[in-house]
Amino acid sequence: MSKKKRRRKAERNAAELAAIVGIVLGAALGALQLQETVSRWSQVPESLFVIADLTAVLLITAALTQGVRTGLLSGVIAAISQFLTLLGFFSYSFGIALAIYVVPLESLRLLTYPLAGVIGGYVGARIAETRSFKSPGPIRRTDL
Amino acid sequence: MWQAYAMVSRSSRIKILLIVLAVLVLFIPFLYPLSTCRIEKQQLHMSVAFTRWIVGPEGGILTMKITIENSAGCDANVESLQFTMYRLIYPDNTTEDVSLNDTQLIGTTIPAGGNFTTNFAFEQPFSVGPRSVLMKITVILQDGSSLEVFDGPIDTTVQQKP
Repeated sequence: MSKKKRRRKAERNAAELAAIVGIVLGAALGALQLQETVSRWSQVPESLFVIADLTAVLLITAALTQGVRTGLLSGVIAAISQFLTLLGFFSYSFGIALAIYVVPLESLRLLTYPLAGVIGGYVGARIAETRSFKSPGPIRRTDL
Repeated sequence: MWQAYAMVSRSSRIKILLIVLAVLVLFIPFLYPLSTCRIEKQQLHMSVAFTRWIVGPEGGILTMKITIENSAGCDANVESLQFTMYRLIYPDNTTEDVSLNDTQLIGTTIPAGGNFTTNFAFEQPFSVGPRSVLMKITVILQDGSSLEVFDGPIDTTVQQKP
């Protein structure tokens, strides 16, 4: 397999992984966002949830993606996945008409996920660099 | 377990750390209520003003302006106000015990140190307006708890200046 093909395959694998990360992350964050509506947490400022979500997107993309592009892809897919999770839940519970009205208002925070993904992807790339440092050469045994 | 952790590469260790950190960060807001304050009865002050009993051909309406002051250290998420009128005192000093309930949905947040004002009309089919009523007002918070913030007479005849 040529170097170019190998590279393309690696890029495709990275994109697939980023997409899977985005889908799972978005669904998980959507499920958590539904918990915010429970009255027990009604006194918690929404900004705290937004900051926590953004930090989580940043950290997860930093951990599981290795570039700005894949980070961006992961952030965008997480936003779409979370939006669809919320839309699905609200449609099932309250009807599609109310869901279409409510979910966009509840989803403003999703607009910042791509940026968090980009930053996370950059951090992920720097982490990957620490792994790809070449060793100075074979270690010679001196006890022989 | 520690040995297994020590065997993985540095970058993998950083990744594991980041994922664990992300999960912890996500749960921080859900721990927030444990450290937040709870609003006590004494911290919500309610005052009733501009009360007026308007008697028409089909009964009376008691109108009033209600102000709730939040002196707690945290926001008060008010769901509704529950009114219970339990005694009517007529101009000739005769009294009548009643049990009249009404609820007004508010759905607002009163910030710490702030106040909230609303007008309320208590509609009841009485042909003669009492000069005073004894009323309990309970604040229902969004977390389901309730605080009785007012229990006393409301004069319906005194002209009050704004």
